[in-house]
Amino acid sequence: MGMGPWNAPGPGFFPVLIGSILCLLAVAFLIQSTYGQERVPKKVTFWKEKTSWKKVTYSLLALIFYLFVLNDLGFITTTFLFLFFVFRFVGKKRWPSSFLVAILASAITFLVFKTALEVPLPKGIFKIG
Amino acid sequence: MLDSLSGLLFGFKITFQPENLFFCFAGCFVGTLIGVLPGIGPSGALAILLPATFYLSPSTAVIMLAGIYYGAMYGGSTTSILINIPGEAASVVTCLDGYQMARQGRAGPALGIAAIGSFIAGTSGVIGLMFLAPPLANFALKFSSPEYAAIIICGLILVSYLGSGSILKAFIMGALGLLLGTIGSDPIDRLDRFTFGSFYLLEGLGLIPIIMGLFGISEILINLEEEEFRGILQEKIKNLFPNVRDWIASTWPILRGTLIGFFVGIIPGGNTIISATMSYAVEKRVSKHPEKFGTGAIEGVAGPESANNSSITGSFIPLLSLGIPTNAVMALLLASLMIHGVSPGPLLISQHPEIFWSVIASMYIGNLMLLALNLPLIGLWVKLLKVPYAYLFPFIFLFCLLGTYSLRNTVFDIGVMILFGLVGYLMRKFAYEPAPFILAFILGPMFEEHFRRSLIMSYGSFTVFFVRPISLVFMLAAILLLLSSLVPWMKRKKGAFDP
Repeated sequence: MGMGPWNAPGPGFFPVLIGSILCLLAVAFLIQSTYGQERVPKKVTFWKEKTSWKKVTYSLLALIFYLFVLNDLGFITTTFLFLFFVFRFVGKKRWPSSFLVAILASAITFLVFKTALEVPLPKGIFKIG
Repeated sequence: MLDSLSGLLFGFKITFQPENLFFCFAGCFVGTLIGVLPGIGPSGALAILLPATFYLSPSTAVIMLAGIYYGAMYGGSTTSILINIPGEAASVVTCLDGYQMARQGRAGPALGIAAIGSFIAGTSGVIGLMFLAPPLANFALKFSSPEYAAIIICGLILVSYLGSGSILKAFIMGALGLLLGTIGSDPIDRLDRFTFGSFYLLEGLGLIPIIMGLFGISEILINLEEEEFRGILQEKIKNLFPNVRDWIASTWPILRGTLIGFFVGIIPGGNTIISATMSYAVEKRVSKHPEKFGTGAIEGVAGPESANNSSITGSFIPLLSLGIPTNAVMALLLASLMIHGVSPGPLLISQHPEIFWSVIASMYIGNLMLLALNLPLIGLWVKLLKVPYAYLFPFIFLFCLLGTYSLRNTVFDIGVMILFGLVGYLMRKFAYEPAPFILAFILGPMFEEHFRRSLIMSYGSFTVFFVRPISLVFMLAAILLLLSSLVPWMKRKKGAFDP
């Protein structure tokens, strides 16, 4: 992946250029953080609330779960599980309402996307859809 | 002049087709919804809805997406005024005086003047767009690669410069965006770069999953940290009509706001937030009673609300006449047009007049629809605010997941989205701006192509950028901006727009 001569820059030219600029900026940033005036004056709290990390982490886990399971379990099942998990554990709603809303939402979105928008959705091993 | 009018009539003919009218309304409706509901803004929503526009014609797609964008500006003021929570970023300024007005029982006039100001600004902005874009496109026909390269680099520096945090961080974001933009095929020789043999990376990282992650998922993650809040809505909103004194007080702010917003919107990096903030600052400075700002001065609502609307039409100008997007939403529209096989550039207006003129016509109609949606129907939106966020956000997640999947029927894109959701979340935590990143990501390949082509044209001489007059102007501007950001040795934080 050559950089090429100046009159015909090759594919490597731009990445190297940007990479170098980035290195320079990083050094500048380092210098600024260490010697600059704008040192953080007070303690900055990372999480807004004590329990914030739970909701964020659970949500991320649910999303990652969706990503890995979608092709295996199919759209409706995965969506149902995802929604149920999120409603129950992140939204903290009760079991019955989470269950109900998750089922309804999965079914409705499936119908809408399949019939109205004609989007192909994965079927998975349960062969629903 | 006559050309423009005949073009406009042509546009109306297309826009009045039932399909386009429907999607224009749909866009405005969804836009208002997005604006009213805190927790998702126009960028994220547009990214989610973009896949749904695949089966529409390019004009219809842009009509709807544009409607969502300016619709959100109308809706955003509602929550700012009623519960002191901005529905989307640009409405932050409206909270300052709008909420105070609501507490004094004057929510009605505040909402009314916000809608009316938005309408005046939006419509005036479209007039400006209509008359400025075609001549600019004509002028741009003289452009060749050096000019484009110079404009883009100037634009990227401007975007970083106008950000609200540390300029250095913005530059870093820009550089990262440029770097990630190199993934995929190189623009001139078409050789793979950084694809690691993955089939899915051949075309580079998808813009849409990245934006959905950066603006959709990360927004939700940030919001999840708050405890559940309940809106505090007091009495019924009576009397939406501002009285005569309000009108007189608001006239100049609306006019000034319209102009400020429009011109700020044209420049790269100028977005709705900056327009609104500038308008507020200007109003406060020219007012005979600046101390009233913050206690319920209607000028503080009229100006910013107008500015944020006209800045949207302003930002369409570089996209439609040069093919260069100036903010994340315009980048999405660019992507949408390219997906539909239209390549934006100076030839867009002449080769696809049906797109340009129907979008313009739809903006006139859209602003009218929004006036109707936001004045008499305001009760509807108020009721909607009572839905707790805990019921909403799982669906936003779901739409993001579905939308991303529907792009290429692969979970790879979902993975990209989630990754950038996390990245976006961390970025917000550590105060890094997403805008320079996104713009650099999409403008990078364009810049590289033009830059390398310029060097090929000039046989390796860099003077090509400085010898040609147009490109010289932009290069000088870029250098000036760079130098002035170095002057306080990057210790400066941009606080220039604090009201």
